[in-house]
Amino acid sequence: MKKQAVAHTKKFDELGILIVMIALFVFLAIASPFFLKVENIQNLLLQSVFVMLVGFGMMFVLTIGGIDLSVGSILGYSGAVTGIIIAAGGNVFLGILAGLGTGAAFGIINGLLITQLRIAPFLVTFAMSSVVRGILLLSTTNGAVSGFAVPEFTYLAQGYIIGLPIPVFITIIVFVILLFLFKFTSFGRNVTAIGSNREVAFLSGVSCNKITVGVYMLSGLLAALSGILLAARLTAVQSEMGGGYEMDAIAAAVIGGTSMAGGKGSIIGAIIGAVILGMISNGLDLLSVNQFYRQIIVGAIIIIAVALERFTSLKTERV
Amino acid sequence: MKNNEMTAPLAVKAKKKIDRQLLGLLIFVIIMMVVMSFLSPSFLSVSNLTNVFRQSVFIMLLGFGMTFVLTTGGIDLSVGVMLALSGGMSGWLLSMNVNIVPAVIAGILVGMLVGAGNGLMITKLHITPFIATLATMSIGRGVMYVWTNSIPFRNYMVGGFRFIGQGDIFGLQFPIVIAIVAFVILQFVYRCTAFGRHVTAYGSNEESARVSGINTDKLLIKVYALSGLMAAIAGITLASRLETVHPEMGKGYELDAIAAAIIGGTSLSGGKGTLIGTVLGAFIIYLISNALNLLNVDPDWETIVKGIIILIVVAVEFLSHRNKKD
Amino acid sequence: MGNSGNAFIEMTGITKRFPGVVALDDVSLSVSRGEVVALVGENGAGKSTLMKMLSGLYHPDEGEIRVDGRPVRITDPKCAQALGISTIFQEPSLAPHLNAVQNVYLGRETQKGLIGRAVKRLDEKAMLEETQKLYAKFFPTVEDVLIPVGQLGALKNRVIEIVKALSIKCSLVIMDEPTAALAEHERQVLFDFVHMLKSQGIAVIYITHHLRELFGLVDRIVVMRDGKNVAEVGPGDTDEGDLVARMVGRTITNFIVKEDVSVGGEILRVEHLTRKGVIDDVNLHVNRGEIVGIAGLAGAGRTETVRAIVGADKASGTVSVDGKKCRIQTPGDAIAHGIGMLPENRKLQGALVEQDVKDNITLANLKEVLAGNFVIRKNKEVKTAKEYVQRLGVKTPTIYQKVKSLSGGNQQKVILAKWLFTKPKVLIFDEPTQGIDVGAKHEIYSLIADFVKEGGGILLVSSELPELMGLADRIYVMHQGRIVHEFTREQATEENITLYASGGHES
Repeated sequence: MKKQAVAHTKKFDELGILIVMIALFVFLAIASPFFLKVENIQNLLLQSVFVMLVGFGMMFVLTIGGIDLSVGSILGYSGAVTGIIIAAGGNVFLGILAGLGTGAAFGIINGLLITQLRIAPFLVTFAMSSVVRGILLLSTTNGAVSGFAVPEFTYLAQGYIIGLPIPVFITIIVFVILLFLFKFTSFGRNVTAIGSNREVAFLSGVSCNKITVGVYMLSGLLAALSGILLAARLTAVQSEMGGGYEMDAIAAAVIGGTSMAGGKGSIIGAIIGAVILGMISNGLDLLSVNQFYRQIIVGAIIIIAVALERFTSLKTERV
Repeated sequence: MKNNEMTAPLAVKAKKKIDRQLLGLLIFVIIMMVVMSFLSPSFLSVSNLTNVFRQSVFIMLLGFGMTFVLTTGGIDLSVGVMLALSGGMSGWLLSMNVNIVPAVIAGILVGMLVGAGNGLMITKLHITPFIATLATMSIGRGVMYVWTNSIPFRNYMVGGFRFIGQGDIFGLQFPIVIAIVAFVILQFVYRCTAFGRHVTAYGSNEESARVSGINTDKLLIKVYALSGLMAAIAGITLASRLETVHPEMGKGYELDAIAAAIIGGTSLSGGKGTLIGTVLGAFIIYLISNALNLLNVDPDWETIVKGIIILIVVAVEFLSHRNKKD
Repeated sequence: MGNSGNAFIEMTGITKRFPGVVALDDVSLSVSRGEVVALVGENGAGKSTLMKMLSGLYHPDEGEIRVDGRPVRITDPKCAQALGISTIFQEPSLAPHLNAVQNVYLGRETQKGLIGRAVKRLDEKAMLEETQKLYAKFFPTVEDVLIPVGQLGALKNRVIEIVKALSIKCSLVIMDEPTAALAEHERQVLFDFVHMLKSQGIAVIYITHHLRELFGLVDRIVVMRDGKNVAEVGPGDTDEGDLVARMVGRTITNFIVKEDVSVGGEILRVEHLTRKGVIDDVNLHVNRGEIVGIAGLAGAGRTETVRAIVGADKASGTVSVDGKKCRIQTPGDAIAHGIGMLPENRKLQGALVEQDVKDNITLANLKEVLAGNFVIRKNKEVKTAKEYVQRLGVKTPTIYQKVKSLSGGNQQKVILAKWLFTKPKVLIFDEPTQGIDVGAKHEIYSLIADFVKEGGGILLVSSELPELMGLADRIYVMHQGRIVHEFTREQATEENITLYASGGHES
């Protein structure tokens, strides 16, 4: 009987926020006749996946007890790198690889600075976000990066596989891989262990530095993937692309039950979080309410989600 | 190993350590000034330096509040938004022909109330400061857009209000006077009052403050309200200076304010902070952009350099600490 | 006995419920001025909960607290201070960035008016003078009152806490495990101190796991078990064994089991281990089937030595296992070579308290349950966890229970399971029984005995001399970062170990 109780509380974290999502879904379905249209749902998913991908990486980073404020800038610059290479006549595949490599490289630098110089992740990634944004600004001094909209590349954003927009399809694959990585591998287990208590993990022989660098690399890589898909969709990379994504990604992860203190994360939660953020934008559009309200609603949902999580965990703690 | 004879010089050393960090920053500023004076003759002029200082005043005021917040081990990401809300409130009321005194007071109240709201969320709902102030930032910015309907507030300037951001006293620009007065008062509060002591104690060891009978909830609410107050002062001054309140006003200032405090030697993990450091930190941030500007460097470099400077300062601090330990 | 007319504190019928448990059930306690009352019981018996009501951190659901005969409500720590109750907490409760003066006066700083009465500033000078006076009265040797206390050692921190508690004009001092971080001779200082308080007419409530301390120190012993009063005895009418029996509710016969194990060849050798300013040229070895103790005062470098051995801190010197030199730079390397260490602080260094029992048990040897070198085999992991839970007798409903919900003793067993699963040749224990109740201690001792019987070697750091002398075959004594002496089991007595540990042999 006790076992059931434990399993029950384990599920509950995501259940609460799932209910919020479903309630929002039902509300929008009733409020707007367009909401349930296939195109709109596709559009909604498409809007959500960019934040979702970044949110996946952020979930890993938060779970290890860190934070990554540089994902927005990395997203923008990686998209630009891919764009520049393709625009210069480079192979599309090569361009994508270079973009992903850029993201991973910045992530590794983040990780190395954090582990080797022991600087707080907040500062490292904040500084990195400045640096990378600056580099992006420099590479767009003569206007946005464009001219890379070759069909092979834009197909990435506009094509469909089994009725799903390709970015959505890619996100599903990434989700499955990450879920496996998080739940069923030593990497995922060690991430949770480090986030729970770094000293314990270290004394138990976990290679904390390696894992930490790996997590920031993963975050950079996912930001880059998101940036490349976004570039394919927008067919131009502005200097401000990806600005504010770090906050949305954190919001998605936190709404989904990932703890800012580390040691507790949920990938499914991050999906739900990102979809909720997407639904808010989508719903405001459909109900022709000004998008200005989006930020207000998002802020309120963050407070409610986190306060609820704190409340339930405080209750169980006392026992 | 730890003999009693050694303790007296140790006590002195402990005091000197803080000074050394400030000294490092000062040396950095001086070297930069010397180098720049060769590269650009106009750099070392009084008018240029005063100008840099005046530019840095807003970040400095936010940084003062942030120093208190960081010392408790918290963070306040909503200062940029509180700045905008307060400036907006004063400007909006003035444009409706409200008298300047109630308009300014209302602006200040907005900042303090939002700040106290942060404190309430953190203490009563047990939300971490990062998330609580992030949510406030999001909500506040949304409110700014809805409120202004994306059209900046204008046409609110009256003579008395103009003085706040553009007047001067004895040849000193009034925003600078505000910063100096704020510094003197807050330095006193931080170092010489029970409140300041409790702030340090809380950041150093929460439990210690609690068992010593300090009302920690009240303390935190006060600290975040203080951060709101400083943001409000900065916001009203900026509204007077710019003569317009844009819905995006103050965006990104929170990170600059944190950077100023950190560069100055305030610790992100709490228990340790210095307001003089924050003054220097804010000044350095603007000094660098000023120097780049005078050297005709592409302004895009500014963000890169700012990022690198933060990394260097923090890394140097870490390395010097490590050397001392070995 | 408790209802004498001049009781300073009288708690009657105190009941406190937390969701799901009754922490205190109709508990009574009274203390008179000038009386020293000991409060003993296993962890979870409710001692600390009861005391937290006196210091204003918890509030009773039922029952009454009287101070000097008047019923009171102690709403918060400030209120407790005003009533003359001050507490020396078990967990260190000083702010490390503040100095001694600032800590002593935290929350009730002396202030003076700056502009009239409206603006007040701290009166640093008055506080400094007052603190120094207090120090001089109690501890004439401690002078470093202006250094942040985080830079001072454990003993000085404890001293500052005591001074802090006493600087409050109090009629009752609660001491929750005051001797925890202290060495034998330092404890003596504290005992003198308790006597002095008593002679000044101050009441003392004394909580400890070290039952030996009580005799000759206290006037009355109150025993608690499972949130209830179970006995109240005078120190003359009882002994250690009797108290333990009352605490656990059954008789525990043999405290420390020392079984005869044949000592085999050398298994671990440490040579010239040095970390500048902390440990200096430490040489030691452990044989198969042997328990080797390290004694010393707090700050002598014992913890630092074992941390350096497993690569948790960087140090020079060599470590050999089975005669072969090993390159150990991280605890991971140490595990690979068959060395495991159970660190000193269970909550901070030992277990992932937020994670479940299973995750904790497999943490240090995850590769054993991997398919390939990446993917966790859930079945094998669950089987392993269950096997170790059963083998060590961990009391937990399931292996999916969060470790923080287990008792201290069971947490320690989970940590031990984690290390046993790494299949170590040598296990290093740093204060394995600190803060663990008597019953669990007993079980840990027999697990240690089992380990050496199977041919393992143990290196045991402990501040409790009876524990060391009861278990160890040989004892190294450390003083100021060096090993100053090695005793065989037969040579070791409390007196001569203490002599070497305190540096007495040098003079």
